[in-house]
Amino acid sequence: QEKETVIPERAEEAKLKAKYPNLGQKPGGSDFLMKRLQKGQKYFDSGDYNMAKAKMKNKQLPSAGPDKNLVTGDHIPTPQDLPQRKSSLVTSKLAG
Amino acid sequence: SYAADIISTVEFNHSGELLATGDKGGRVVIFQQEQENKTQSHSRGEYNVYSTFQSHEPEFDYLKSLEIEEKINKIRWLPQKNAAQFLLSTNDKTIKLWKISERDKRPEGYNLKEEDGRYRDPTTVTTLRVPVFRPMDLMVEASPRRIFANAHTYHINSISINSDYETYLSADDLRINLWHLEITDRSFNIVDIKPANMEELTEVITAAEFHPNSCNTFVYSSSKGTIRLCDMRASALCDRHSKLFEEPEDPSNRSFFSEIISSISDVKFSHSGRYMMTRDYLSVKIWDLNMENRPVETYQVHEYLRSKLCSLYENDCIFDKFECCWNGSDRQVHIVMTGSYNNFFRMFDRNTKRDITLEASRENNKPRTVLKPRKVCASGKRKKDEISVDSLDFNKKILHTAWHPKENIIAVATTNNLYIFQDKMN
Repeated sequence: QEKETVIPERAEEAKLKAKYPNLGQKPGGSDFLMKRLQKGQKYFDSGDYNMAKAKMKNKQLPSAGPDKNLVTGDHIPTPQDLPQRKSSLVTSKLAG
Repeated sequence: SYAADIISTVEFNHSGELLATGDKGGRVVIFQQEQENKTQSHSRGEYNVYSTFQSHEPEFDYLKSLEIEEKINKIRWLPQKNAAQFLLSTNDKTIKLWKISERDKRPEGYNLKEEDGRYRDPTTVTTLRVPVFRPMDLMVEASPRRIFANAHTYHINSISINSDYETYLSADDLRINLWHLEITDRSFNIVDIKPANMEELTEVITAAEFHPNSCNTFVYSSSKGTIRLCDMRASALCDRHSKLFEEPEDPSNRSFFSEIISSISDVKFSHSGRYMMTRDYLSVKIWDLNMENRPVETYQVHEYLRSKLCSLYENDCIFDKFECCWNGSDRQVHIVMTGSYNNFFRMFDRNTKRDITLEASRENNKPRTVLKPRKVCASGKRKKDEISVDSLDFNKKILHTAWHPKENIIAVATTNNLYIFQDKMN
């Protein structure tokens, strides 16, 4: 009789797939790489904004999804979604 | 505490007298070791703040709708050639050469100006004198001498100064460029792994470093756990590696996480240049440059995390990029060091094969006392003084550590604190 030893990694993989059944078929792979390459991309396109506003005249405006960095044509970024420009005048706490 | 205070890089200079840190807010803080106190033979000089300056500012690339973080990704020191010190600091897009110089005297006795700078009424000047230099309180000034910009479409992860001390490389996710320290308006592309069709992208560059002695040799690591060694004499574009280092994988062990945890987050040559060390998510590997098919040594940093990969993926910790470092150039001792979670860091003695886990935290360690070794209990019955895996704080990451080039002094960065430890003397 075969005794099945569960490799910890495989058990973790099963857990993950149970939670997210639509998880990409490619192991690890390009989804992460693409996300990594797109780091820093913050889109606010006033053309998109106005087009979407015109389209959604009477409907409820969609609010930002969980991933605020996703680029979509119809999602209307609100001022709260936009990145704050930080002040760089504060001295590092390491410098005392 | 401010997010800007998050330390993003730590680096000793070549003599070890200076220690630079870079942070998320684009600032550099340099510490200087005190001259050794002759009366206190039990401790080496302490490190005090020497200089601090704003290296990079946040930028917005309007053409690409890209926010460019001011976070300092890497600092590399140039060897000292004259009284001034030079370092390279880089954020995601721009590398800068900074000159740090001391001023300890100033000219006094001008004829037309008062000491405070106000101009004297020329009609009151009746005699002439020669201005002289007088001592003043030490002032340390940092000024940007070169700005190397606009050469990287993707995010810079590494810079490395060549042993010729004239050129250096900068690496982003898909390309590596070669620069001359004096020339800012052009750089040579020496590696380009961008596929013609981005849909075919399977691998990115994660780190790169020049060989410490051979000025024509460099290595770069990838997100798939491979290291390529390239020789610039072979061709102008080093797309074909001279050596490919890869550990064969047991296909029966493969899982969704395999590739992610095999991604190399750091690569460092040994001082001799005969070996190189790589850090992936769970281990540190030592490679002999003469053997491509497997590492000569593998050290498990926190193997107990293998059964936590699901939650580490969900909270993104599985993508944390840990660095690693060799001990200083003492030929008898061979120790490698790397960080972990819960403010723990690990050291592996390659000679004795012993390892130790230490903690960088003020609460658990009194100053000037010997650090107590820590132990994580993977499962089962937890012994007294052991910490269970489930109570580890994954927000307390030690990603950056550095070892003094000559002495047993180490710098360990927690999220926003810097710890400097030295070994017990006598």
